[in-house]
Amino acid sequence: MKNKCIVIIAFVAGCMLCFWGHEWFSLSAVVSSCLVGLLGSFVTSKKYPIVNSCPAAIYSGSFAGMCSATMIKSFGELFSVALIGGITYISLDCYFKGIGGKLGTVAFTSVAIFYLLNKGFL
Amino acid sequence: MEGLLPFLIILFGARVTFALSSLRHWGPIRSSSFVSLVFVLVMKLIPYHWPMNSDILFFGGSFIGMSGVDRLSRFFLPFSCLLFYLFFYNVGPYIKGMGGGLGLGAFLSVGPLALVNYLLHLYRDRDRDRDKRLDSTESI
Repeated sequence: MKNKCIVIIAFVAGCMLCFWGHEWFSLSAVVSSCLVGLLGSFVTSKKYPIVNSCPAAIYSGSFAGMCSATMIKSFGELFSVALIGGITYISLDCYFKGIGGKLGTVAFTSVAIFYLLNKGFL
Repeated sequence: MEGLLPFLIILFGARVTFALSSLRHWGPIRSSSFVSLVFVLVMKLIPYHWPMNSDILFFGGSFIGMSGVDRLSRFFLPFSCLLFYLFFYNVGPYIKGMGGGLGLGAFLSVGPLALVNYLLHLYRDRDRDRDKRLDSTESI
């Protein structure tokens, strides 16, 4: 459970950093996501193996954070997207390994679920 | 459709990421983010009439390149990029502003070819096993 929480926190952090990067610092969404992903890729540890799964969670979170401000309007909404994404990420972690775009698909799924919940479809 | 250059940008992103991710101390995440940042920097430095959304196309291509070597042979990369190109210009406008859309496109482009790659391997393995069995019966 503790390990899963760390991965969810990494996803949330990636999502928020990327979103703030392109909303507050006026970076493009691509640059913001790349910066978060590049910095996140150095989050590794030999002592705690669970930390080694954080870079992927951070990068996936950064994709979710690429949403435009028209879709995510408040901190609560951003946190909701990130939380849904984190849970989706740990649920799909052991599937589709090595297939490009998996992290983005997780991010898209979380954004889509949030969008549908927000619009009252679910 | 925007012509050949966007497709080449996607392919370039995929090939560079694919090559770099197999190096030691790199890995798919670092290579994808690094090459995309370098490409954005190159775009800023070189005053060329880049196609619209070139950075996004390259970034999407780099997701395709994040595929594992065992999942996607490098010969399938161009086909995957072509599928992504079609996705980007046909489906992309409908999911504009939604995070992860590029990744979804990459996943949908890599998935079918990863399946073809898997089936080909399965077919080759079956043939190899059959040949081995034939050889062993001939030797008897």
